[in-house]
Amino acid sequence: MAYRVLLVDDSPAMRAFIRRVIVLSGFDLEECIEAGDGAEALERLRQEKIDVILTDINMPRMDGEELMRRLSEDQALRDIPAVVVSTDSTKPRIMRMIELGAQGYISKPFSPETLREALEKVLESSSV
Amino acid sequence: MSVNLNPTETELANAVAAAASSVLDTMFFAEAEPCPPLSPEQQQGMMGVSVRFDGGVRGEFLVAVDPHVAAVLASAFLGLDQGEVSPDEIGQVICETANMICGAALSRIEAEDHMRLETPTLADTATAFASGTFLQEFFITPDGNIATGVRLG
Repeated sequence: MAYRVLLVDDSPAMRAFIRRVIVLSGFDLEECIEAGDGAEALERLRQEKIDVILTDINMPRMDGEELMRRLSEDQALRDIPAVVVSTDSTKPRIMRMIELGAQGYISKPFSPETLREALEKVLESSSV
Repeated sequence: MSVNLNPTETELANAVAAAASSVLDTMFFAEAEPCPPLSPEQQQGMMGVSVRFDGGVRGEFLVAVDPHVAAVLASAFLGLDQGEVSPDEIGQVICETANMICGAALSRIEAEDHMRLETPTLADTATAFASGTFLQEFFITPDGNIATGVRLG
């Protein structure tokens, strides 16, 4: 089964890097949809079928923490698995994002294997 | 809970060195080794980025890279030939590089506390470094030099 990934990051360079890493890692990707912040991510989530979300935290307009909070309150979106990809690997931040429903947390820098394994793990556990 | 509100210069230097090495190796497949300080003349013309941060500690982090290193890093990061990478894309990649090194370094010294990084911006790092208020670290890669600086407060 090929998956549709929503990639949320305000850095176009980081989005391009992650998209390339997903492809190179061998992950079964149908399409990678991109958003530059949490607000744009919510718009895309309401327009398209998404299997898994990869989101940064520090973003303008709506950050990753607010995105996760909105997702957790939305019955139509709350079951879409989300993995946080962030430079912030402090324990309070990781715990906060898990409390808000994140099923995975990847600290930058990360290897392609780490990214693929995290995606496969959350998709397997959510049985998409 | 142990929050390191007053990291020593040695702790900061070690954290930045480890973070820079990890980011360059993992994300860019680039080898970087610590090297002796660069002269102000050698730092002229480098592409610079500033990242301000706060949380358990507050301050500013700088990264400056030789233009050729910047092009090589951007090419590696984006998976494009050097001729295909635009100046804007090079700037974006160096901003992201600074963001990752800063975040990784701070996570090493304040793992138990909150931190917040502002959006990285291109900056005149040569002037900032010349002020003498930044703790500087220098690295050499096969393609040229990289300088980092951090200032608390």
